[in-house]
Parts: sequence; structure tokens; C-alpha cells
Amino acid sequence: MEASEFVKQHQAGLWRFLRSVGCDAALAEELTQDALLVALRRDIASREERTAAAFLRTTARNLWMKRRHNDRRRAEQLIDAAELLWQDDAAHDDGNQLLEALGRCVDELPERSRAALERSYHDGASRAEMANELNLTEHGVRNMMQRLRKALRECIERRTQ
Amino acid sequence: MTDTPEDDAKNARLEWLLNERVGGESPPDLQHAVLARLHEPATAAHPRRGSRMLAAAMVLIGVAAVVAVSQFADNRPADNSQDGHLLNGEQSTLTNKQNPALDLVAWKDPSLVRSRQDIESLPADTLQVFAINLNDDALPALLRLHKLEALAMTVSTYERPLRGVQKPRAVYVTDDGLERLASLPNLRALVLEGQLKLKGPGIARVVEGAHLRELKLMNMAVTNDMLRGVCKAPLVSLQLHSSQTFSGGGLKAIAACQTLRFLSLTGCTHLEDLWIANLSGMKALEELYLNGVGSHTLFSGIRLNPLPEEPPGSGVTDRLLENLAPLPKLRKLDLSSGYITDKGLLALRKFPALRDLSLGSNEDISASGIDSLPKHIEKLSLVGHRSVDAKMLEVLLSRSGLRDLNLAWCKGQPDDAVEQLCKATHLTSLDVSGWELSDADRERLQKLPVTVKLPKIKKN
Repeated sequence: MEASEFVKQHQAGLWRFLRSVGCDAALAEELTQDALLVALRRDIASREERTAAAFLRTTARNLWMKRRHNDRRRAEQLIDAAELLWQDDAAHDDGNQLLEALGRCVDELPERSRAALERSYHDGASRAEMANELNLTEHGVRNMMQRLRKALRECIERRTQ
Repeated sequence: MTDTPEDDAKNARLEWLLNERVGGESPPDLQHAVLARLHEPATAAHPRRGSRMLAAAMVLIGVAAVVAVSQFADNRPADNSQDGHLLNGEQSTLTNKQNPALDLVAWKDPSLVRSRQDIESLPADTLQVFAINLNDDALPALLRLHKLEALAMTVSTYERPLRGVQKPRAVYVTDDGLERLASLPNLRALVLEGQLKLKGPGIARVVEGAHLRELKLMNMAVTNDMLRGVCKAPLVSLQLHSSQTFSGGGLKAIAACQTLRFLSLTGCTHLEDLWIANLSGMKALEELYLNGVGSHTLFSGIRLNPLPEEPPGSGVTDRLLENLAPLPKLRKLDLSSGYITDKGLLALRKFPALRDLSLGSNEDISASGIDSLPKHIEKLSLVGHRSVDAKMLEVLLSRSGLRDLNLAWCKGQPDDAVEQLCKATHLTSLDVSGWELSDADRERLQKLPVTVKLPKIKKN
């Protein structure tokens, strides 16, 4: 397989895997690049797709662990759990089904909850701003977002079972 | 109760999903970046993340300062609305002081791109693109857009906030990358902001190769050599905002560009009057913006870029005006925030085509100076002048040729200022933004048969 085709095939899935571990977008991009480079230099592009994807995730895992030397034990547990979740729900389609499931879950939310998510994740509104707009205290906003996340997690799990 | 690793993983997964689905994030296209690194002879040492973040944070401080400066320099009120795709700072990059006669590109809802992938998803007939933080790898994708007429490329560390955190990330294009755009057949306008890796040849190649009409360089390391290269082409409009690395030689090069009809040096605080005087003799120049040149107010001491900030130059002085003529077609002249006196204004009689004059924040100008202005001035701005007293108002309103008068945020008005203004029936436009007006005065001005811009009503 051509190198460019290999990158195109695996970049989204690997980046999303790293985001799902908690890497911020910039670090995920950096580690995705690094892992793809390692794979290309070791001729992993010639392997079967699933094998190559697993190799890339393992490489990304190791690169990420190097960045987490301060809490290595906890990081290791987290990424192992993330790997299992990824294999169960996302490895077959790079997480597209999960994104669709979340989209449907969000659509089912009441208007006020959808607006709160939009303000927080799309507009980057602070908790204080949201409290002002929603006529809540900052503590109230925190509780609301916690409840929303819990509801969304459960909804996604229901939809992907 | 402590969360299990599985709970943590599910929470982290949800954050990713929400950021992508609701927050608009998307996986980056890394093909070119990875292939470029793959073909490097040896793996380049990757800068440590910590040091990169520190550098980015420094740049972030600079961006905030420069955005503030450019807003001030344009005398625009702060606009907190978000229009379409662009944020306020981004919009200010594109603001053109429009004159239909010059046929400059009117920026209208350009497509916003941040990566090669974004460009590749644009329709082939896209006309205008505003690009943030592109690198050379992304530029070839623009060549597909055959109808592209206007392109802005800015380096910004102010990205859309995600989870309330501003993410600093600055990416630059180089001359080698930029010159590929020379083959864009319909490109008319190019805006470059904060592109500190550009030294000049790439810009000159695009300006010449694409037959560009308009070039705007903001917060750039604009050198005399860069201007010599760029000004060989028949540009119609050149704007050098807040750039501080060129001098008299660069201005001589600009003066040699005899097709130039629009020139803005807004916020180039370091310029000396005799350097600017090199512009004398430009036969086609119709609009010249020197607002904020030499200004100590705009001199922030904080830079967007690692370039040293030059201290303020002499800026716009009487000596400049005495040496600037002839500019036979000069119709619009902006001298705001300068150091002009009544004596200097006498030199404006040497500009036969001058119709539109901005003298805001030139504190040494009095009624006698205004009285000496050429009779053919139709539009006059004194924004922020601190002594628009009874005498000055009388002189202003006695100028029968004046059609458009801007007295926004002026101070020192007499008590009967509104009464006097109501007698000025020859005006077609009047701006008194920032004045403290009673309800009765407001009502009287609103009844005038002219377009009146009033101060905003204060909310209690």
C-alpha cells in the first residue's frame, strides 16, 4: 500500500483513539503523526488493515505513556480500558457509529440541555457565563453538565449494545 | 467513591465525542505532514512540547495586543457580534475602506479553512478564502480553486475556544510555499497577516505571476527589499498595517509603483516624516491613509512577533505636508492621530483633488486652521478632537462646500452646539456619536433633513 493511502486510511481512527484516551487535539495530532511514521518505517503498511491498526494503537499507547511518566500506573490502566472499549465499539468503523449514536442522543435532549452543550462545547462558554444565561449558580451549571454527561453516556451505551 | 479506569475511559471517550459532534472538531489530514517527515534525511529533533507551548503563549499575548491596536487604529467601535464564520479579530483583517471607483474586492462571507482537508472540501468555484494557520503543505490544495479571487492567510494563536481554553498554535507559510499560488488565474487580492517566515520573494512571485491588484500585509516583517520586489507589479492597492521594518527606501519603492491608487500605512508607528515624503509625485494615488503613523498612543511596547519594536517616528507633521505634494489625484487623506498644526494645513492647498480629509486627534488644530482648508473639501472628520469650541463650530458650519461632517467623540462643544448644527442645512451627513445629548437635542437632530449618527442611548 502507498504511504499516503496508508496515512489516509488510519489517521482518523488513530487520532480519535487518542482523543478518546483524553489527549488534547494538538497532542493527539502529534502522536498520530509519530505513530504513523514508525509504522511506515517498519513497513507495517503492507500488513492486513486490522493488524496495522492494532500496531498503530499500541505504538500510540507507548508514545503517550512516555508523556505520562508522572502517573504512569493510572495512565496505563486508563489506556488499557480505552483500548478494550475501542475494540468493542469503534475499531470496526473508526468511531463513526459512536458519533452517530451521540448525535441521536443529543437530538433527544430537551432544548435547554442541547443549548447548554452547544454553549459549552461549541462556543467554549465559561461556567460563569452559562450560569448567567441559564439563571443558575455556577454550582448548578456543574451539576447540570454532570447529569447531562451521565445521561449521554448511558444513552450511547444503550444504542451501541 | 473513586472512578474505575473503565469509568475514566468512558468519560474521556464522551469528551472526545462531544468535542467532535457538538464542538465541531474533526480529525486532521496528516498525509502531507507525515510524508514530508518520512522523506526527511534524518528525523528532525522535535521541539519539546513545553517550550513550544511557552513560545505559543508569548505569541498569544502579542496577538491580543495587536488586535486591540488594529481596532483602535481603524477608529472602529468594538463589535462584539459574531458574523457568519469569522471572529472579530479575523473580520478586522479583511476590513477594506471601500471606494467603489477603485473596484477593490468586497469581502463577503469568505470560506474559512484551517487545514488542507478543509480546502479540499470546498467547491471548485469558491471565490474567497480566509485561511488560519496553514502551512506550505496545504497550499497546493488551493490551486484547484480556479475562480479564487481573494485569499487571506493569517497566523493566529487565537483559535475557536474548546472547553473554554484558548489553544495557542501558530503555523506559517514560507516563500517557497507561497510562490506556488502564482498560477492561480483569477486571484486579485491577497491578505497576509503575521506571516513572519515570508522574506519577500514568494510574495513578489505571487503578486507578479497572478497579476494581483491588491495586497495587504499586516503585522509582518516588511522590509525595503520586500517592497522593492512587490512594487514592480502594477498593484492598485497596497496596505501595510502595523509593520515596522521598512524605511525611506521602501517608501521610495512604493512611490515608483505608478499604478497605485490606494495606499495605507495605518499603524506603522515608526515612520519618519521625511521617509513618507518620498511618496511625493505619485500620479495615480487617490487615497492615502497615514492614521496612527508616529503615534505614541499606538506604540504598545508589546509585539505580536519576535521582531524588535521600533520607537515611534516623527509621524505626520507639518514638514511632511509641505513635502508631500504633488499628488495630483489625491482625493482622500487620513492624517488622524498626527502632529499637524494650523500652519501645516496651509500645505493642503497644493492638493487640487482633495475632497475627503480626516484630522481626528490632531490636538494643535484650531478654528483658524480649519478656516484655511481648501474650499473643495466635502468630507471632514475631526473624530476625538478635544476642542471643538464655539469658534471652531462656527467656522465648520460656515463652510458651504462641506457635505459630510464627523464630530464623533469630540469635546469642548458650546452649550448651543446643537442649535448651531441645526442651522447647517447644507450638510448631508453628520456624526455626533459619543456626545452627551439631552432628549430634546436628540429629537431636534433627528428631525434634520440629513443623515445623522447619534450617540447610543445609555441603558439605566
